[in-house]
Amino acid sequence: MRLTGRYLGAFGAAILMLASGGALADYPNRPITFIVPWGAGGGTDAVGRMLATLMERDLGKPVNVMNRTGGNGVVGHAAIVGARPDGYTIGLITSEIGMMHHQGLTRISGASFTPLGLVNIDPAAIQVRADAPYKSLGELLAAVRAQPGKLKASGTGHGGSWHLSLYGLLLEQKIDPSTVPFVPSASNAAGLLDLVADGVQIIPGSHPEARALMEAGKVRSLAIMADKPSALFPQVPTVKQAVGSTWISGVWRGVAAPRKLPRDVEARLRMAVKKAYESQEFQTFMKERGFGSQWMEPEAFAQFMAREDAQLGKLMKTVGLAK
Amino acid sequence: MKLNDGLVGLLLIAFSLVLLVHVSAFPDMPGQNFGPSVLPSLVAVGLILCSLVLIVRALRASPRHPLVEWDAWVTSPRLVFAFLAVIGAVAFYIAFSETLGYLVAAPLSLLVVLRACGVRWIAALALAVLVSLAIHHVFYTLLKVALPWGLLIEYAW
Amino acid sequence: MESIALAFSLVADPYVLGVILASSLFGLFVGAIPGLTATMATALLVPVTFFMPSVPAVAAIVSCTAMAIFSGDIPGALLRMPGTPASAAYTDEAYRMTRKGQAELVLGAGLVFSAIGGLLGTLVLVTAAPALAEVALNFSSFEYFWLVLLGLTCAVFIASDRPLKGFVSLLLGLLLATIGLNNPAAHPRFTFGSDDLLGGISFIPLMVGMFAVSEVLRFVVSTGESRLTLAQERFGNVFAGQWALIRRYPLAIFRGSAVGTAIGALPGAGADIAAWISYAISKRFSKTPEKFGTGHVEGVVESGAANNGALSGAWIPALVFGIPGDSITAIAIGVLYMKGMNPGPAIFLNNPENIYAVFIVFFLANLLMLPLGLLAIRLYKQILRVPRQALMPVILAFCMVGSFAINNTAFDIGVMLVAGVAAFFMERNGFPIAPLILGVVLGSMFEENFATSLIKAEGSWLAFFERPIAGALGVFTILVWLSPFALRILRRPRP
Repeated sequence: MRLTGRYLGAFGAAILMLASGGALADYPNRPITFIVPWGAGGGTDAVGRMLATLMERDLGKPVNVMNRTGGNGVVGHAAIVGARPDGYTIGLITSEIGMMHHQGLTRISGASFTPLGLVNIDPAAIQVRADAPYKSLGELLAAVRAQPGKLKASGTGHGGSWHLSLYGLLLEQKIDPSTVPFVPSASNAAGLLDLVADGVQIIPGSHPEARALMEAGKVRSLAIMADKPSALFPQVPTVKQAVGSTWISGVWRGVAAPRKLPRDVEARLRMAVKKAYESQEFQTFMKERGFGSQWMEPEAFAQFMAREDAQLGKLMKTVGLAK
Repeated sequence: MKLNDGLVGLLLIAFSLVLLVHVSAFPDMPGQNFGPSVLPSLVAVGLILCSLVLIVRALRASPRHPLVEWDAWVTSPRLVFAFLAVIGAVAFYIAFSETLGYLVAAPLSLLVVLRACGVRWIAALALAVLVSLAIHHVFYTLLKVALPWGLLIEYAW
Repeated sequence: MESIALAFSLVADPYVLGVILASSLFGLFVGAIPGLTATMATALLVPVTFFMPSVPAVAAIVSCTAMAIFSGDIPGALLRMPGTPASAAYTDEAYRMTRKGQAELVLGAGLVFSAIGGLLGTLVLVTAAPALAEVALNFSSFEYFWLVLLGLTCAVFIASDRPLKGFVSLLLGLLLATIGLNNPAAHPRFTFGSDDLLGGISFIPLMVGMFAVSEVLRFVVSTGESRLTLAQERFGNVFAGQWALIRRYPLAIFRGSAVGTAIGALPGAGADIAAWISYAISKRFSKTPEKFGTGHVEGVVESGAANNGALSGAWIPALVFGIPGDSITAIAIGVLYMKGMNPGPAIFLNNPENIYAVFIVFFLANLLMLPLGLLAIRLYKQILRVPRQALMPVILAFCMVGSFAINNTAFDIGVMLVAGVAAFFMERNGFPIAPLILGVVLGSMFEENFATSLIKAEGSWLAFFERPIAGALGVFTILVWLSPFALRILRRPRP
């Protein structure tokens, strides 16, 4: 009888704990650090700060954003991987994680994390000057084929995401990537400026990045490398509609923690990330900023990262960017 | 410590030569006429040219400056110790703030620096603790900078 | 007209005014803490603005940054701890004035001329933003290449009493800027396998180390007189001397604001280059250039105005084309989108009362800067009463935590320490440190635009002069280089 009573008591306590958010009466009991591997003020920083603010409301403890910049994201990603796996350090990881280890910059990859959920994908698109002679992706590619080496592209650093998106499309269209010389730029905005100043002719990049100049009538987007048009500019065709290409490429952001997180802590964080993603505030924020909001459960996120990793690795080897 | 300009020039030339050798191993950017070694090489060449002028000027100067001029403080053991103590205190903080935590490492290093500057023991102790706490409040609590907790992780707020 | 009236009523809302005041105080506070930047203050504000209507949200950003940029000058002048790269141009000059007992004069100058520069810059923003933005769009890497080169040339003017050593210092700065992965080839340089070095040398810890830590070290090994508290001249009123300055340097104030706004409007340049170029211009055209570097207010007046002019100028491409001129406007653009005030030429057509309200906030913030800044100066200068032997260690503690806070890594405190020791020996050997800072600030920009231009030019040097603006800037830069030689030949006594 006494035993049963004890069991019942334990059971009741367990129910209570579940109801109050799992066996985590003591997690979190101090502030959580949320690492953003990119600088304060950028798009990734804004997404990180929004998520942190919303998770803070759910977790009941401060979630403080910490910018760890440098080395094209290597420093910040390594800081998340290297943190103590106690749930008090998490962070936003970005698509660069699938590239940096192919370049020989670091050993970490998407598999070095406990994924907590993907929140955003921004597909690459091809931007040209509004007054450029080519009115469609087909015409642009024809121009590239007709005069190899004449049209130059820019929009990111040497070997950056957009650089690879463009070269992947060219390869898929059986065009030698070296016929479109790539001019490295510090940011997509810097590349777009050079495009408008007539310094380069092609800018691969996302729609939110080109948005203001497109709305100002300075820049035109020819096609987007996704399976459906973007919500921001639905009139821009996909590469499939434009030239029948199946190439899909873009950048993404997701929340992750170090590996070997305690089960209960992981469950609590997964819940908090999902809740933040689904909140009205986050959805409005993403829509206003023009970022593509997209959810993937941690398991799907992990598979997605592995797929991306393989695709990028192959591409980087082909164009000679991998070590 | 003031080195003769000619000596500085020689050191800079030696440094530039090492630099030139080091950057010559940098790879070129595939298919492009600009590589990562261009700017460092330009800097190295510029440094060598400047150093040559420094050396020529130093040789022409009359009266010739000594190779090394020691400052007064170098002869005072107390000041040399103070100088090294400041550097040591910062180095200590860099090395141990993560494991000991800000609230342990900061007052310790601040105490050393205060003493090195000649503040009396009691005042130094009080200042070290109070200033460390005040900085912690401003940076950690108000501005959300993640100062490390280290040993005190259990008592974190 | 109607929309202007509507804009005034939007701003006159007590809630909006309260937000402006609160974020001004916040900006003032964060900016005055050594090691923390205006960008940091703005980033901290962003999550708060998520939950505000559009006008107060943008007003918060505008007033916070204007205050933070000004208050960054206070520790620079009093403690030799510059708050922003832009104020590094005149930190040494201002600190020398403090040591001469003219702390209030130089801080007052910083305050009044920051406000004037900001107001004039805002005037340009309001009246000519669309036209200027179109001009800014003509700047490609060739134009920026020459502009950066012109900025680097300023190092020679700033340190013209010993140009050779200044040039060595500049070259070392350029070399420091090459450390890490952020270069056109994305090749890790001088990293020796360290992840921290992969990220490059952080600018703020370097600057704090070079200016402030070296000063602490100099104090530690000093003896006698210099150890005592700083001399303080009695000043009735911070603003007292400023009217005289306005009358003495009207041209400099106007020139500084104009140059600042123009350079600020170029998305690839910004307040840093503006302040340095203005300081060099001020020295070049001064009637008393020999006084520069000895604690002379003239350069502070002009580059202080340029500094805040550039801040307003940076909003021009941001508002008209959504192109950030610096990290602060990058944040602001995000907030604008969030609040449905999408940047673009249409921002002046759809709901113009919102953008007019933002302009009103600009004027208001720059005016509010005067009383609040005065208050901050009054409070801050009490620091000078603290005995130096207690003050110096406390400064060092702030330097350490501030350097850490930039990127949350103890490695940056190491950068600060090494920079401090290096600057201690450099200054003893007559190598000025300001050119080194300039070299680091402009190094990566120089290389990037150089590389981009070379790649686009396909090896042809002529391409650097082919575009009209680039050609003009290039010829001007080369003339500036040749002018000392030309002057020497002209002045040579005829036999």
